[in-house]
Amino acid sequence: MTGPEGTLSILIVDDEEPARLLLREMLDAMPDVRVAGEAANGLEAVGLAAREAPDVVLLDVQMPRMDGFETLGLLDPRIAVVFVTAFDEHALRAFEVNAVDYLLKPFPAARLSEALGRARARVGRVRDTDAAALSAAARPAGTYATRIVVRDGPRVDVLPVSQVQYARGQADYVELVAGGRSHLKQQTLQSLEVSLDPAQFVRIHRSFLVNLAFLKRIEPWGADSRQAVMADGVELPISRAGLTRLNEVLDGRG
Amino acid sequence: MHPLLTHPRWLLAYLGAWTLLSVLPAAALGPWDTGHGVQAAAIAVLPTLAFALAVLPTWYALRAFPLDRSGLLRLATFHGIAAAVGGALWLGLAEAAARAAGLVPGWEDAVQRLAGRRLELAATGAVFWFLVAAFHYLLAAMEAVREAQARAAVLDVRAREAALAGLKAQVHPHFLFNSLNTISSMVVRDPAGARQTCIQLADFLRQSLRTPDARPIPLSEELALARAYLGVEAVRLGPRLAVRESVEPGCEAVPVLPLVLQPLVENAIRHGIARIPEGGTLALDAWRDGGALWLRVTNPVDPGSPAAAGGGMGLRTLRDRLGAMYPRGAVLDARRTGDTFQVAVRLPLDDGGTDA
Repeated sequence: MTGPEGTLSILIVDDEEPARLLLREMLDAMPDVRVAGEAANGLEAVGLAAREAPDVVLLDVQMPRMDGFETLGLLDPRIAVVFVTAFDEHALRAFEVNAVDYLLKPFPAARLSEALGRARARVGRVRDTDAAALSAAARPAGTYATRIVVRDGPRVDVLPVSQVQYARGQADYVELVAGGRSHLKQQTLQSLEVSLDPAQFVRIHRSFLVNLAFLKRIEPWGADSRQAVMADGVELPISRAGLTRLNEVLDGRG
Repeated sequence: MHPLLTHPRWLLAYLGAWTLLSVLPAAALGPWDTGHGVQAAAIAVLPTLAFALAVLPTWYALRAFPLDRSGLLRLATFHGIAAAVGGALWLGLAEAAARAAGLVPGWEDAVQRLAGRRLELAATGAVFWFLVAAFHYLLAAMEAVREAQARAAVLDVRAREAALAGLKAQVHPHFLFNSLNTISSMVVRDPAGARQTCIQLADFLRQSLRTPDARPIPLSEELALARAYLGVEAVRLGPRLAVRESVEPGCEAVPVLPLVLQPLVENAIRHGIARIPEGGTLALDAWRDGGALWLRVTNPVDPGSPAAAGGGMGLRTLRDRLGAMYPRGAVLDARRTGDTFQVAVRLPLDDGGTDA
């Protein structure tokens, strides 16, 4: 990390090689900037950013497996992010997650220089991004999340939502159980719930959100309560309100 | 609704024609001296006009007996009975008119004028029935022509809309701007490559922006379009995109629906290969089998990606366009098997492909 006067270190993230070469060519011609590295996808970018601690990440939006918005959610909030994309349908979402700037391909070097000027003015400040806004920005309006990215130190896991068996809320963390493994993500259970398809995921309890595909049966528990038995045998409590929601979704399926 | 009732002027013309036709029964009612002429006309005209109005509902009955599809015996039976009923109806109306005329002072003998002429009058009524039937068949034929024209116009508009939608889906903004960015990146480090990519992009755009008509083009032109597209994408994606093309000799001249292949190729890249970090191979096959041309595009998909049900917007548009162009049934089959996505299109060789 550097100050407003020093050399700005920059990480280039784009899955297309010609696009990376163009950015490098433009940056090499600019004073006071240094290319800290190049990544061809979000996973590489997160690892490289953790190692190199750049001031700025030039982040492509459309990338395989993990797009720019999902990648941004896993970057250190002190890193300034400039989105780079071919089409401006994501501009509003970029604004909502506090990106420094938004470049439309192809752009002149002067436009890149202007974006870096803004980034330089922001160096050292922490990007303030609300987790719910980030989660909403990570997918087009009116659709549900199809995958969840989870970071565990230097390691990033991309979980298809269809493989998530259930989620347990713990204060401002959720524990996601998928494929027999458990992953922690900094997000509230409620913001996770609204990002998922309500016909697939049901909040059966204040602290539990289950994937119906992994629900094996509902059985009585105690005097007048029920519990859910998941495919792997785990038993989860069902609250009164949770049972109502569960019945609504199951009845709705016919 | 009977067409005459929707056009008051046609109805007036219809009744005028019948007034003239009432000369036939009037003649049968002679003699035509000054005393009897007006009386004969009164007894002939009023029943004729009443008959003309009473038979209008046969419009609906005649639809059940179309000339071209009813069979001779059925038609003869129906019209024989109808003519008998028509004759009886006309005679009844004439009787009523004569009785009414008999109430007029000086015309007391009106009913006697029918005596001995009832057979001729009934025959006139039967002839009138045949005129009514002929007239209505003519009307129905005109109506059918008008409907066919309207239907053809609607189909034409739909075909145009589908073609335009196909075009819009075709030149996707992401593709266009990414391609321009690719060219921009090559200008300094690889000027010759930049020029080459520019030319491929121009070729692709020119062919895509042809006037939207649904006239078939040889498969070779569709292949050229797909190759221009793949050429630009190959520069952008670099080693991530490999293409394997296999076109059976003789297929290239077969006329096909324009933009039948390119959307499949674009889908394979946008939803398949471009979403895999390592990329993959796009396979393009074309062959003839019996009375059909088969086109098939196969691509890998990212293992973690959700299965798209029924394909996206592009496939839906193509399905609609195939339905309009090949009335006897083209087939579009899209399926995902594991991590492979495959779309096969079967185009019947003897269907569509004409300007009709």
